[in-house]
Amino acid sequence: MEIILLILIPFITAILCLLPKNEKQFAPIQISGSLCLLLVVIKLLNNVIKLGVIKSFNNLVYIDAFSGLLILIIGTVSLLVSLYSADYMIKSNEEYSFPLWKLKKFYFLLNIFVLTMLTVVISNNIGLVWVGIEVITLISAFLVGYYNKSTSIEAAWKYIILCSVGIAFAMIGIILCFYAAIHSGGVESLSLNWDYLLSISKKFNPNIIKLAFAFILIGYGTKVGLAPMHSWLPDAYSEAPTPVSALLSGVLLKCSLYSIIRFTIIANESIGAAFTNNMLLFFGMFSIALSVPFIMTQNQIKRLLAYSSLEHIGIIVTGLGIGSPLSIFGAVFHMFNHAITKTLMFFTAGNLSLKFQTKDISKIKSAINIMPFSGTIFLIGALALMGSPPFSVFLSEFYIIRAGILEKHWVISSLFILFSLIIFGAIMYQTMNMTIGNSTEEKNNLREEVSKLGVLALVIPLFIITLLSVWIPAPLFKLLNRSVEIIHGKGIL
Amino acid sequence: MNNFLTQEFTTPIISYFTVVLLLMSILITGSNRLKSIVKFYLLQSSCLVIITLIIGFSINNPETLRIAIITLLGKCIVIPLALNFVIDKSQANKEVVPIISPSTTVLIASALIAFVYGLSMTQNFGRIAYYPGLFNAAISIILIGLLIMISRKKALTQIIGLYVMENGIFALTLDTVFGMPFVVEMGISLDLFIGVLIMGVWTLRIKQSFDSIDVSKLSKLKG
Repeated sequence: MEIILLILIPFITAILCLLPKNEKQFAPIQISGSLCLLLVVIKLLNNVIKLGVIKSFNNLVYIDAFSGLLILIIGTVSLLVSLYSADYMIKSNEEYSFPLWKLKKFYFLLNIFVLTMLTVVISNNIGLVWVGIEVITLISAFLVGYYNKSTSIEAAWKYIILCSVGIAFAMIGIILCFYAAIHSGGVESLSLNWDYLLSISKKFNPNIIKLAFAFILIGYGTKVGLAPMHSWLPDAYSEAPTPVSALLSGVLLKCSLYSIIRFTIIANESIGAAFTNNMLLFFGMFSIALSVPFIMTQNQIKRLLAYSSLEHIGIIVTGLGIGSPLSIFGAVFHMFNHAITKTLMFFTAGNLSLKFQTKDISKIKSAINIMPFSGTIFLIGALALMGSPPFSVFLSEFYIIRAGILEKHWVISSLFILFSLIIFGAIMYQTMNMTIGNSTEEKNNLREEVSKLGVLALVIPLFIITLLSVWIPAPLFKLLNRSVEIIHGKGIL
Repeated sequence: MNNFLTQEFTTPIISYFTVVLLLMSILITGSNRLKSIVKFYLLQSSCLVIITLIIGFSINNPETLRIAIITLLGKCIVIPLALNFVIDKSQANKEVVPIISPSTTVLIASALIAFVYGLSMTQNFGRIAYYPGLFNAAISIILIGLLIMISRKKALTQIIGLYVMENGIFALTLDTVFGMPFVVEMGISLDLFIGVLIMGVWTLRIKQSFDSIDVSKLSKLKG
């Protein structure tokens, strides 16, 4: 029942969002829709924690704690995005003087986007997951190119072409995996179901699985934005409307990573963890390393956040690659933390660039004086994003480094700390320049006006990340611990 | 099994069609006119449909036949029609200055095919396939698709490169696992239909704001 509602609510909201007669009517529909979605998600997660695994619809749907975690991320971030876009989209629509149907299109696509992501994480069939991810690319390209400027068209085109090629490679990996399954005696009609694949994975031909894993990692890695396949990522994140950037970076990235992790579990079961761990460590560290120079020299606020996403993907993948229960716990916890923190950062950055009418870092000055609310939260959010206590990103990064040292990955751990320090310095420097200092502009024509919903959209994520740094609620902890059990075979407790 | 289509009987037939598949991808790399590229793509897809039908009959699998029908609908009708529509709308029939000239591309493509066949002789990776020739062709076509994407500047040629690559993957699926389960194959085909329409829309938008469909002009975003 919850599963049907999970799919139905975004769909109905999408249809309802085609109806409004003026721009004020979108917010109530969208917010009530995503509130309902979040309630259903919580009810569903309750069942997942109680039952462990939910299978239904003739084995097409498979929900365990790990998919549950992803569903929670999708539900939370889509509610935040709904709160934020109520105000932001009206303002930016005025700025570009778009007609009303543009807003209808935005909300419709936004809901379909959320819907496809939900189907990806609850699907049992790795072939259908592939289809879902390709559909997401096609749909979100319209959201990336929403403003229809020449730069946003460029970003959308790069996004659609690069991700489609990448996903085509992932298809080769899936074919190889399917081949390995039916040639080790698997039933053909079940051999794309990931629970079935896991149960027979011991019999697979190890060479074919290695090849398949490489293709899947490169293929979905393009969609995740792992270096060196990341070149579409800063373009798409910076050109998309801010709510969409938050969704792309906070959620979509994790959905693609989810498919890689699902496949890693099968590969680990079949050929042991050494091969996959080395590949993950390489791509993870490479992503972190590559983000450093771009963050240091960046002059555009949303591109800065995009490259910081690249760093955080690297952190998550490195955590998975270290491969001890503690580091995997850090990695899945970081998936959640990064989703919330990056959403917060994109929102405040969106407010700043809307107010100053520019994305250029050097033209944004003294944001704390001009926009006391968004400016302050931007500064706090930047600290949280870089992993300073008391915010939850600190905890998850700390777990990963701690696990790296315990597992005697000395080089990886020291490089990890070094890069994090450089990035901390670079982003703090940029943020300080933007927020603190005297403004050359006249103050009175630049007063901040934030609506109540806009305040909520910033306060809720800030509250969540602060709370999680001191206390992880028991259900969430169970979800995380079970996810670690699913990925590694054994939890941290 | 009282089937007259035994593997000894089908292997030479499939080999003929495999040659046509490869020939078409070489013709695509060597052609300058977008309309003829679409025609070659159409012929290549038709070959794939025939190969699917032969394999389907030889293993008596009704699912393969259904896959053949969907492929016929999509790759031979919807996709070429959509591509031709976009070519007419964007008034861009000729690739004026490609990044690598067609004659060089043909040479590189032939070298790729030779490389793949040579590698398969020494490494014998064709053994995972039912028809090793088709397997090698499939790998070559995937590589040629990538080559088309990087050697041309027009947005449309990039789409066609992607779809040539997809044809290669389809041949690979056919040859190693006799096609995916029907639900998945259905989803993939649907994806391709929607994909060509959406990429067509983007091509027209590029045409609108850059006044040509030359993707080398898309270079404002850097760093």
